Amino acid sequence: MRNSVLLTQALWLFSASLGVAATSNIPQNPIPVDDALTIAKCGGCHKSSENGVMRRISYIRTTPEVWEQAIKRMLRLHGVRVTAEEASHIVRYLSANNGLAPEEAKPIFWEAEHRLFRDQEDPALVPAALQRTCNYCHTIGRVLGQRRTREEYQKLANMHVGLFPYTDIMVFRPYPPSASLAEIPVTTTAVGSYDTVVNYPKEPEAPTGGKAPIDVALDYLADQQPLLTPAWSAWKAVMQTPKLGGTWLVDGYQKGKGRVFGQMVIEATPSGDDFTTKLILKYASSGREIKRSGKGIVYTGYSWRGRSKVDGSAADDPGFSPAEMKEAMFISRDGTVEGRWFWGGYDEFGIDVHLTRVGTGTVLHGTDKFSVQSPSKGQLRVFGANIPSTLKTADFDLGPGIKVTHIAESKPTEVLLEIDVAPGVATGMHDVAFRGATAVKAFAVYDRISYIKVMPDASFARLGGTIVAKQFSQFEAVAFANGPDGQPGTDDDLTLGPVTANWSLEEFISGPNDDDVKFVGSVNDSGLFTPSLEGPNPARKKQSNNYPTDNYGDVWVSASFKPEGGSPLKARSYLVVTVPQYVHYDQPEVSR
Amino acid sequence: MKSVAPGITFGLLSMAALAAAEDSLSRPGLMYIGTLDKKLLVFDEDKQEVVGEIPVAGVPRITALSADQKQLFIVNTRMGLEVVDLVTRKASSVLNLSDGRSRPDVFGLAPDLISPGNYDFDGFSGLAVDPTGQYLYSSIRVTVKDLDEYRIEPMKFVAIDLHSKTIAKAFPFPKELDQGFGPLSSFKVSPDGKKLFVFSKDILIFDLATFTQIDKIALSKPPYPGATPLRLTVTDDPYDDATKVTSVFTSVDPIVHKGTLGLATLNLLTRDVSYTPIGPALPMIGFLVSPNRKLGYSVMFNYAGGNRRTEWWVWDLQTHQVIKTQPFESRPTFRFGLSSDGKKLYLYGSGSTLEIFDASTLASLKLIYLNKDITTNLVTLARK
Repeated sequence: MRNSVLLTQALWLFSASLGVAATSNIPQNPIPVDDALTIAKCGGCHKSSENGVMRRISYIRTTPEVWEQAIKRMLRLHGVRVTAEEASHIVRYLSANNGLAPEEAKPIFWEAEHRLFRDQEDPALVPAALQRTCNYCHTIGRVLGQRRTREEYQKLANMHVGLFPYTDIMVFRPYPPSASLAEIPVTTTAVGSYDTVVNYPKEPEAPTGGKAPIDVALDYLADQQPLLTPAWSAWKAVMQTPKLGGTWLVDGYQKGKGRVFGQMVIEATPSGDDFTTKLILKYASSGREIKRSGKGIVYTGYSWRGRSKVDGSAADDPGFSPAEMKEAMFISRDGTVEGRWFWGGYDEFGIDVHLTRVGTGTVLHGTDKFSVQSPSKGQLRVFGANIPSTLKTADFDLGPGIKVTHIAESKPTEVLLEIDVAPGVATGMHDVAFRGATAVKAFAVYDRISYIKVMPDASFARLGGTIVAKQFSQFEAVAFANGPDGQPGTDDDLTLGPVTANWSLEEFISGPNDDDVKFVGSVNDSGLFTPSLEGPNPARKKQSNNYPTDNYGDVWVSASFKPEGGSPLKARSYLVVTVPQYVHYDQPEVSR
Repeated sequence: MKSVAPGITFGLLSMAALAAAEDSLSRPGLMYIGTLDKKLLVFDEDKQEVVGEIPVAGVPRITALSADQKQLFIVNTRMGLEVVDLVTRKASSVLNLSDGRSRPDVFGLAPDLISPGNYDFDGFSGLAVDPTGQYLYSSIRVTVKDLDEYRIEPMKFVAIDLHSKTIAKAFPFPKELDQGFGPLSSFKVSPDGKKLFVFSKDILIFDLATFTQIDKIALSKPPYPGATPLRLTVTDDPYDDATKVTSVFTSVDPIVHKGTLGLATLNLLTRDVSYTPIGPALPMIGFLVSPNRKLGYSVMFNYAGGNRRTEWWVWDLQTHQVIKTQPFESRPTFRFGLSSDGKKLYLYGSGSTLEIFDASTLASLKLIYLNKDITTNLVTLARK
């Protein structure tokens, strides 16, 4: 749910930022560079003029990740020598001097959060002008995070041709069909037993205005993502490192593991942009607690990149408490902080987090359970901060039909309530209120589970384990109650949270003799899919290709669940298990 | 005399031994393929195994065989041109086309005449071999790395002198060909080494001394079999000698728009083009002609992706009959080749396996795991 909200917000902001850029008439003057180390390390090739304008660099604004990757490319290909500390300094400087405004970065912050998007061709996300060029190879967030002049975009395109020559003929300026329509025969296709469809050759899709795809893309980028925008001018005038020192309440959600609550203590360091962190997290459903220590950097006044290490040993479970976890968080001017903490060979594991500053008053964040049944009796754990030690059952209001009968445990950060849900309580989301503090829509009340869904409904994993890491895929079975219309799958349905299901793989029959289910991997009791090893497999000769990782395939991931007193429910999700990504274009150093 | 005779005898024996050694090191029945670990593998077609390997300086990517079949020209991924002496099995570097700052690119691309509308990456190497052995010709585009940006230069046509190891001539393309001969074209040098035949919709003939067009063979109004233009493509068929170009073609009649697949041969000396219809132009992957030009082999397919079903088809070129078909399990990406005696089919590609099929029974004979990626086409030597 949170993801869909974030995406909606992102799309709105994306549209809004485009509108700003498209109407901008700001002179596109280059941005002076005045940092001595940046000039010393980059100035050998990127010459400066007297007014501080550096070739190339002064004509680009972008994210810390892209700046960091540019430095890496200079190291690898052009002989630049910098220490890690120097590189870090340059990335910080350029992110501040030639960065993105919050309004420009927010719509594509999922790129920094390393979220796996399902469809890079989504027209709502990818402008049509970029559909046939940049997003063939790049995640679109990387492209939408660029601000350059027209000439600089052209140089960027030339660099692609210089480094990857076939880019030109395969993407930028693809060759026209080699034959005229008259030279291509008409074919027929049988439909059913009696019909035949005649297929006439079709003209290829004409590029816009007779322009090649790269020219369409360059026009779009120059117009919609110019070097200078009102948003950047406004932000640069007030940009400063936010005052983050203090204690922050964390609430989060990890797919497959459920709700997470905790506290993060952030301490500022003398440098100003650097912080240290101490974290305590508790998984609400399992009660497992982890402690971590870390550090973070704030780029461009709003963009947190951090990294934490576990206090003690990492868990064997690849989806739980890794040795090292990366953090990308967006700090809004209103003081809210949200983002993703992630890990795994492909950053496929993650916790969506939301941080709020802890003051002196009581704060309630949420409950361990997503839902309770009517009628029922049971326990409900409520998480928060500054919960007083003297409590009475009457202090808690859980909404109509729910009575708190006893307080079983109480700590400043959580309280365990015994509750009694009356028969006939209407299906809906309930708040937890305590002396003026409220956890809004903390849990649902329902009479019966109507159906389950496996979420996500489609995903992918990558073979690995020998040369490269495996990419796991976590599924969860989520229960729903029909809404007032009594129909499943409609907008008024109520999410009741994940349930403990039985998991299995089934063949997705995509071809004759399909047997992928025997080779792709396995799913465990928690809905975690573990892919098989990459590499040749003589049993799968047909799968041999230019990446001889023969265990790939596509399958259904199925969940079955029997509600108490109800009929068994089933659901499934489509899973593609694909080849490893042998070359990883990543920017892990940004958070170091 | 006595003192001389043994010397002569020894000399004759040595020459005989050398000839025998040469025969074993390079002969029809051996074939060659480049691999990612900077090797050219020597494969014995009769033994069906790798019998040698020739180290090369870079990862081989583009190949072209000399007219006498004793040398193989290789352009590696670093744009280094190497010459492999197939007799001594030694590679020597001719020149680096890239100087570190500038990188030329040779595009071996040609119209795919089997699937009109597409391009064929395998049929034409992008290199034209001078039958006299002095030059190698190509059209290249250079990307120059300036101090902090890349600059793309116009296409040019170059003659690489294999003796002096230099680019001896570099010509700009005429204005009407500012993108070079383009993806619709392939080219071949005349038997005397003086002219260039460029196969586009028509065949353009250039004087190689001046790089000016001097003549044209019109194919755009074909005499046979339909009204659509015919187009031929030079392929690296080892059985095409210096005087001939053999090419499949497709043609579409103007009435019911059905496709016909045929075989055309151009005699570069007489300029005569002969056309032989083979059969209907059905969806297929590749079409290879046996050394005796009597049989054709194609891979027919149905459906796509994981559902693709592939079959070998053998065509009798004289009777236009499909004389044998055989389903087989193919890899997702592949090329196929024909042995120098026409008795075996090879299935390979950008992976690490080479599968051998009997061209007569179409049965799989052997699957060889090379345990390294193949980076070039298979080069067979014609049994001339």
